Amino acid sequence: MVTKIDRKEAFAALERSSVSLASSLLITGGCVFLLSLGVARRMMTPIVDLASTARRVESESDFSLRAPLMVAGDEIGELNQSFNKMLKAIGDRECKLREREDRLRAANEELRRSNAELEQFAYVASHDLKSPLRAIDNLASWIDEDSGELLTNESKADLELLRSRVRRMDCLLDALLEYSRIGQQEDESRSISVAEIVDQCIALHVPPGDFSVTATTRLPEMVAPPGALLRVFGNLISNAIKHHDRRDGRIEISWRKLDDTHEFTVRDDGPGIDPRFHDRVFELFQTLKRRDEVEGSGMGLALVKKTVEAMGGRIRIESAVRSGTAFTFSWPETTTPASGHVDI
Amino acid sequence: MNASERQVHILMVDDDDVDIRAMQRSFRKAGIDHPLAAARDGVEALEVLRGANGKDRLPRPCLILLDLNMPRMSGFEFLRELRRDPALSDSVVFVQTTSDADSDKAGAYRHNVSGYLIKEGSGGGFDRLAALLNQYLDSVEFPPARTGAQA
Repeated sequence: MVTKIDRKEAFAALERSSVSLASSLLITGGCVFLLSLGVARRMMTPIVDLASTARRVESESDFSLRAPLMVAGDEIGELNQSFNKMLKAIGDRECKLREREDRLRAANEELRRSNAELEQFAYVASHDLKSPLRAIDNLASWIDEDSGELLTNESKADLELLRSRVRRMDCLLDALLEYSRIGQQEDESRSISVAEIVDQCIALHVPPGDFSVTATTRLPEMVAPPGALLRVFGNLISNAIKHHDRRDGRIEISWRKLDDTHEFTVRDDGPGIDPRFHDRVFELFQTLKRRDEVEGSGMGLALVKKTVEAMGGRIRIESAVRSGTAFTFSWPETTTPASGHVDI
Repeated sequence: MNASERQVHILMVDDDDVDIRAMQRSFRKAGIDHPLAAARDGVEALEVLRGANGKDRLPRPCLILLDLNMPRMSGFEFLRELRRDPALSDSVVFVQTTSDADSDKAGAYRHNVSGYLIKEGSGGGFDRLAALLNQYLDSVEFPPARTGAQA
């Protein structure tokens, strides 16, 4: 059966149903869109917050910042919580590190101050002790000048001994003074030829005659305070001569380069030093012979050791009885010596 | 009157009696016949130079031999006071000390001393200083004597 309906009517029904379909589609779409927007916002916000917190922590190095916790329980909330825990751990460690740093800085400052005090003490002591010593020497010489002919020979000899002890003490005080100044009052570093330094030491310390001082390797040019290098080579060379048992001894100086460090060896063919005394030779005022036998302050190697160490180097001794002695010291290539001054 | 004929009064400012005696001996040995007076510190030296506190004023021309480390008023404090005083600011001063510290040398020359000498070597180098002063006193003209108070 065919029912005839008006075309218009028929289309109207179709039109109605498609409108309602479209509108319901539109509504559903809108809902889905709004819903997903909500979900997205709910998911994104904590991540954006996390990222911005991370950025602030990074740029401000402030470990007390925390990522805001909006929702707990889901993975993102856990992520934020872990992130915050991590921040707290870092913050705690940072705090401890800073405390330790402060303690270290205070200890350093204390060490620097007590070092300076010690050096000042040595300077003042040696300086002020020289005045009465000079007075004793003057008075002894005036007694000799004014009434020498009245003295017995024994008294004259005593007076001479008195003056020789005064001279010895004067040398000891000079050495102490020099020791207290090492590292404090070095001259400016400049480029110097070690061969020239050694030549100066030879002119100063090696008596004309059979003693020979030779370089067995090339000696370098290096940047250093000339006075410090002179002190080291001068004391090592004069020591080797002073303690040698023959007049025709040989001293050999050699050099090698280890990475950024110069290494020099001063070797003699003298009587050698028993290994049990090796530590002692570097101590202050130590001599292995009576000062009446070999006049010396006992400060030479202490001066050398302090100078080398002030430059960041090390010194060692190799020696045995009857096999000569070798002192080897290192000297970092570029050293910037402490330039503090003791003003008194 | 030329340099070699007039008398210069020398004031040694030093707290060590033995140093003062050493200077007297060295003066005698060198044949210096200019009078040598002594003050034990900066305070006493200023009194002698100004004729204050019952001291006789040291006649001009005079030359001051100054130690640096002294009780009451050190050499540097004395120099500051001396250079500030219009009546004494032109004084000729030699520093004579055991200190060879650069800071002391620089400080002394900033106060316009005529020389910086170190007491060292046997006898403290007083013979050497006496020989230097002997020539100096014979050859150098001193600031002219002034009449009345200085403005």
